[in-house]
Amino acid sequence: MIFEKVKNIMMDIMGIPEDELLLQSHLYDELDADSLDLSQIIVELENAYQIEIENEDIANFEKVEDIVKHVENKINE
Amino acid sequence: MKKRVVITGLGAITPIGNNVIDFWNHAKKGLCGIDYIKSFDIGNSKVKLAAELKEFDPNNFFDRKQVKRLDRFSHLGITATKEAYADSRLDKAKINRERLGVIIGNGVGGITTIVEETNKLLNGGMHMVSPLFVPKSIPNIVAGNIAIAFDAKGISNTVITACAAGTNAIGEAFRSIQYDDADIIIAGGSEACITPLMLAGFTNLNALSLKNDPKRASIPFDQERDGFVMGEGSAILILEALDHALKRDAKIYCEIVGYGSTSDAYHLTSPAPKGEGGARAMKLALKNAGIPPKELSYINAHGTSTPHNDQAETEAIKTVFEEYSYKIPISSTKSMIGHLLGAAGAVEAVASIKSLQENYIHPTIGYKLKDKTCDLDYVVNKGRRVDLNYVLSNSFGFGGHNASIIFKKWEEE
Repeated sequence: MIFEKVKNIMMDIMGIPEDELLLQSHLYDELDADSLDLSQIIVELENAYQIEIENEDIANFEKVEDIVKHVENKINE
Repeated sequence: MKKRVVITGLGAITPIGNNVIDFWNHAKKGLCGIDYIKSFDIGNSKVKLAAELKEFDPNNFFDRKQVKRLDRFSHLGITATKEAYADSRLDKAKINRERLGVIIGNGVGGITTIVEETNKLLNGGMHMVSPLFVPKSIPNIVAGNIAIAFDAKGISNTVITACAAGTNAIGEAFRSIQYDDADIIIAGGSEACITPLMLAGFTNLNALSLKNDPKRASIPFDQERDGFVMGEGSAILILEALDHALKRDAKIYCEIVGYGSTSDAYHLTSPAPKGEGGARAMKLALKNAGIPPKELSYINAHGTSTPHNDQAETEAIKTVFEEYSYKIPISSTKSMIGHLLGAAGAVEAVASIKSLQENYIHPTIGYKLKDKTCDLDYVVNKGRRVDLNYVLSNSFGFGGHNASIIFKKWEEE
């Protein structure tokens, strides 16, 4: 499941406990992510699913679910 | 008028102690921090020894994100800065952070990260390389990370002069405060170089000792010396303008009074004949301090244990101090902790400052056989209690970089 994958990557990169990582969690306001975190997460996802995520799409991610949905869409393209 | 500069805080993480107190107590006793390499499998390497840190786990000092984001050389530099900053009792709320600077030396940057990411590139392709590669491994990032961690908004600089970098960083910080560019500078060096690539590079350059006995490998000035032993760690000094330190009633370790820096302009790796570049650095430091050579009480030598360095440094000392050179005690911290490359001068500055403070010269350990070309007083195997007023520390680096710095005992004025 993609959410599980995103969660595992974020836990690894950002050191956030699993129970704090919800689909509704806000990347910046709640999880304290920065551009370097996002860059790493995106590279991991691109390599895991053999997809490409555009910079302008990354700029629109606000919540964890935005990333999950975007990856789902890319896989189904 | 130039400002006077004093040291008001010390931090160190070394192969013989992960803080200043442990480092210095072990240095006085002559503890050997060199052992068989444990952090990776050395395979069929001819060189088997290094001076690795003991029990340093970044997880004890950093959260998970910082553990992943920073290379070991940043972890070490920040950890030593935490100790030095706490030791200086600086109050973040009371200092002008725009006049708090950072000047750090290192030799090889984030070499662990460079190798890891190179492997990803070669094995998986360009898309496998981490976005952290650049900000994790660039040599200046330790200074950047320290500035971020301690909110230091003044001068921020990195000195890359190979094995002279630690001393050059302290010297450049001294100058910056003298010329009133900052009130306080976090200065020193950090190095995390014990990796297969560095081991192979230095081995094939014939720079490292091939000896198998940890206690007879880094043996500066000994006739049987055959190369240096790699070490890792960091040391950080808090340099402060004297008036600023007095105003906040800071504890003062010593004053920095002289700095000299020169180039051999001679060879990639070998010192110039008779160590003439090193001799000029010492002369400049003495001139800068305004003291005659006879005032000097002790030299903390570069003393790497390579055949060339120790002979050239001895000759350089003779050039500068003439007949008095036989009367100055000299010792090499590298006999205990190996060679920390860009952090060496910083750790040796801590040793020099503690020597001044306690009137005690740590020994050059592992010494057995006298070399005709190295015939000065190297304080061998046993430390010495002696009144010290001025201490000079030397550092010389590949590329012909030479740096000498002079510390003066602090007495209430």
